[in-house]
Amino acid sequence: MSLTSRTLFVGCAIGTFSLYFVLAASLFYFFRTETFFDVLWSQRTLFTVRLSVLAATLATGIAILVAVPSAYALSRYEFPGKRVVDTMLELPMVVSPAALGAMILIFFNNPAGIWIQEHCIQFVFTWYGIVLAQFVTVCGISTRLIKAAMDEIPRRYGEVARTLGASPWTAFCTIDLPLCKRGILAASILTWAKALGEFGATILVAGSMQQRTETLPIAIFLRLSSAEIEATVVLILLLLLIGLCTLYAVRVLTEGKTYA
Amino acid sequence: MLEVESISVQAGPFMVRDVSLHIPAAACHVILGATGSGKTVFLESLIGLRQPVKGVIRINGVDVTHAPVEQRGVGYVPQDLALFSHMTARENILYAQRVRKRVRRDGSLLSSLVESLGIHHILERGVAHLSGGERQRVALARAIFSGSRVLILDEPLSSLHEGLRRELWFVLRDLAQTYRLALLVVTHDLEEAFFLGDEITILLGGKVCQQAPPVELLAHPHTREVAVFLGIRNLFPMDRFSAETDGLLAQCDALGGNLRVPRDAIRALPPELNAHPDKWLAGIHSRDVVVFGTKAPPHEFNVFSGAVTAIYHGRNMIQVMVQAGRRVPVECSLPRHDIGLLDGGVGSIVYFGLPQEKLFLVRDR
Repeated sequence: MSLTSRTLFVGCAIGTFSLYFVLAASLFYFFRTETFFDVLWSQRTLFTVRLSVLAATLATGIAILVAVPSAYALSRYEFPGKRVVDTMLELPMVVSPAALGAMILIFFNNPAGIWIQEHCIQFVFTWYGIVLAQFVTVCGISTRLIKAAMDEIPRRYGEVARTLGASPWTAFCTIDLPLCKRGILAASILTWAKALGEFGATILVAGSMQQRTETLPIAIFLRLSSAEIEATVVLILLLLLIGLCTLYAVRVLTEGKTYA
Repeated sequence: MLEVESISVQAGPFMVRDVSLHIPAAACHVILGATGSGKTVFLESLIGLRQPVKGVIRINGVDVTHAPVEQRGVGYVPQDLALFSHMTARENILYAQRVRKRVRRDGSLLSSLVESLGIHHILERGVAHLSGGERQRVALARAIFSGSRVLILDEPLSSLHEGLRRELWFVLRDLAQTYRLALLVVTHDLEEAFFLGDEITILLGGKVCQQAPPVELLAHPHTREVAVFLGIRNLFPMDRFSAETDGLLAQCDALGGNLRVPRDAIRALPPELNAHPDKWLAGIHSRDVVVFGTKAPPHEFNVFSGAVTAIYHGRNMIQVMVQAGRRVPVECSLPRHDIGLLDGGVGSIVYFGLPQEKLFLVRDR
């Protein structure tokens, strides 16, 4: 590769990094140490963090429970409509979260949705709605991530396990699942981070009620709307910190993954 | 122990047709075939990963054609070994015991198996920390310890260097004898096939081209396909036959003379031989061609001459290409100590003989 093209490519990489760096650094223009701790330990922020973590954890847990068997089916089996199912799972990645949120709201205005709201759980404008909106947004992504991890494990492992006397279920539990546990863990962390930062669908389904359905992204929106810039910066920094920790954890988990 | 009757297996547009074989205890059957010949598809039907479209598979007399994989009692060692990388060598070997909770195998079997494979010192190691040979041995131990007496090995030694491969050939033969195993080995390595196989099936393009013990297979390949697959390049078309008391005299314009073929070199001489001589080829292994050097030998049958076109020095033998008759290349293998016969080098004329007793006839198509 010539020096010119090398310079161009490295320049692009550094340029992209610089863009994010400048955006992050500009936050410190409004950073005040005394405000930082006041906002961070305030009742409202603590509620926001607690709600965000709880909702994201629940949504992630449910998403992973659904994603593991779905990803296994897509990775290992052939079945009618597999391609359609596979494509549908990618929908949340390409459709705007606001559209997804609107779809959920419209569903709850249909007879089936109304019945669920009346006889089972009230989702709209409650924290259940936050979990549901986050689950709908992240489920496809977590399935896709776990499928990628399962695709890396040779099918042969499970087949050999079966020749050794394992039933398909036992082979799944003793071979495939332990072998892709790091992949599942990495997918869970990414899913959790994605759920934590979810805004569009959440605000449409759960609304933006202070200290009721106020997740971190919604809090950022509310604080910015009321021109509380310094408080907004604190919340953004919090989200950035969580995001960086997440990426680091995923990198550590997915390093040196080999199947001997 | 393993009986396969006319199994046909479909894999997309490809089909493996009518494979039959019988492997008794303590015997080894080798499936030999080029890449894409259907070996793995056939194996998958035996293991239960693919349902055959017809035929029957029996293990110890029990029909297992439609039995689930885990109930067949067929041990399987794939090409990549598929050792479970999240377990130690011991955990791999004991996996069958762990999943079949009711089966508690005799501890002495484990120790004797570990002893005969020489893997006692690596049992607590993770799979990633095993060498190629150790991994092969652990995979074999795992398959045998599962209690299966029918063992299917799909090119299990292909990734090893020659020294280690040879060592494991002996290990495999010993294991088959010690544990009365019926081994079915798939390979494309001729040397491995002839060392291991009590019987060899040549599978090409999804069909069985020949099934015979190794000696028989080498002495009498049935078709051009089989001969070429076995690496026999000396195949000469014949133009006419005339019967003699002890054999045939074939006119072979390609070599520029007559070939005398003894009757016992021709198995099941077909009646249409004279009517269609062009459907038959005379063949001989390169190592059986006798090179006389630059001087014509005293009168002998089947002696021809030609120009040396190339000399290749192999590890044990010298390969010599001679162009005879109608520019037909003849491949000769000479022991290294016979290099003096080629003093004239490339371009010189040498005499060579095709000993009658070493000739065989194969169908051209």
